[in-house]
Amino acid sequence: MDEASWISASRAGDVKAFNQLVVTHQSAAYDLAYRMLKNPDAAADVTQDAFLSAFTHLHQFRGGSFKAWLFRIVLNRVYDHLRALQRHPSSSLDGMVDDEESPPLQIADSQPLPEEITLSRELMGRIEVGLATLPPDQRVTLILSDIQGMSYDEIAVATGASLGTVKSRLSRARGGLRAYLGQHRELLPPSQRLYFERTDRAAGKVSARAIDGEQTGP
Amino acid sequence: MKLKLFGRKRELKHSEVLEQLSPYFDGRLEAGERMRLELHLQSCQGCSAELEAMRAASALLRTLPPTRLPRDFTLQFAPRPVVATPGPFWALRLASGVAAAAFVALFAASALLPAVWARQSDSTVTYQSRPQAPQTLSAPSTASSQADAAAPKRAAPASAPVAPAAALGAPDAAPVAPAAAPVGPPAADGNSLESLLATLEVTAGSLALLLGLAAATVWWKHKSLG
Repeated sequence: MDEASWISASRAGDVKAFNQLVVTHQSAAYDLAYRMLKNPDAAADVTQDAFLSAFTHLHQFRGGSFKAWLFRIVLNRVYDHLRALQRHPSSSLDGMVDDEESPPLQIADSQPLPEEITLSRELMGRIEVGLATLPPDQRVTLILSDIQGMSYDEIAVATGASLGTVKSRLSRARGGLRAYLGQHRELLPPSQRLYFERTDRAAGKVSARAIDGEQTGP
Repeated sequence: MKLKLFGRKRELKHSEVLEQLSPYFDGRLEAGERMRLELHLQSCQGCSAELEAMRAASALLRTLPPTRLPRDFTLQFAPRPVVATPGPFWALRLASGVAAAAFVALFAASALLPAVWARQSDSTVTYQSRPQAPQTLSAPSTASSQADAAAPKRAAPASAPVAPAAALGAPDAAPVAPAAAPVGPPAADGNSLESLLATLEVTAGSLALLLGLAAATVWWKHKSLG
């Protein structure tokens, strides 16, 4: 059975068929929730809640990318959680970013790292912190594009934004992350360090303006 | 980007180039924009290095290992599917529609009724002022005549301006005017009815707006899966 068949059967109330969809997408869904929330328990709750909601609202799925539709639900739950954190800032994300400490890595041990770039754990942690410094809208766009490998159209569905907004958020997010990595280029592989050294100053100006524009823009 | 000033293409600014690097990297630039950007990159080492840095940062992100899954998220039982549309939505939509219809009806009534009253008043004045005019003029000479005194009784209710004229013309007609006043739509009653209509109109309009907003909110929350 393919994904369309599972969706069709799930609409009829077949939980086993829906669980095939869960198995297919649960890693990506939890990965997105965890990278946005940086809290394993909260990310697990959000992911479980999103799958429950997806099953009960499956009649609203109008075709296209099921992954993008599912991620829309995950992101709704993520933003709900972030808003709740802002109202009750007992353990906010900002604290983690401000202390410049790398977050605890939740890496799948069984997953071998690609051969062409073997990242040190310190660099991986630094990239995660760099992601966390971005505004949520930019962060999620960058995660969906460069980590999850989604197209602009899928990102637009998942985030509820227009294609133009996706394009501009991605541009700003990449500029922001590039500027952050430029400040920690000693951790980068030597072959890539060169690019960050040459463009550090220019990128810093651009990313600062981009983040300002994102925060003060309409 | 395609702006031409006096037949000559404007040079790309570095800030514009940096904003285009990301869509260029993703292959999302149009052919013309892509050609101009590539032309700029050939002559600008800074922007070329920026593009390479973007490639490198993107490659680093792509090589991040996936997060470890803490548990299995498969469902153990079938939760009850949510019905297609929530109950409050239809109730709010219906109430909003009724309120909107009431608003339109009241608006039309408040716009049309004064005009109808004015026409009725004018026709009454026109019809009854004919016999009144000679009566008013001849009143001093026939003030004691019972037949002539009856004329102002008919003329007085026509409208407010008529009554003073009759009163001036015939002293005994003065008390008649107030007694006959209720026959036509008096100005005071008309104004109160108009203000009542206006109040109802504002109330219905506000209700329609509020209920419409509530229905839209329910619909939006339902659409975005709450």
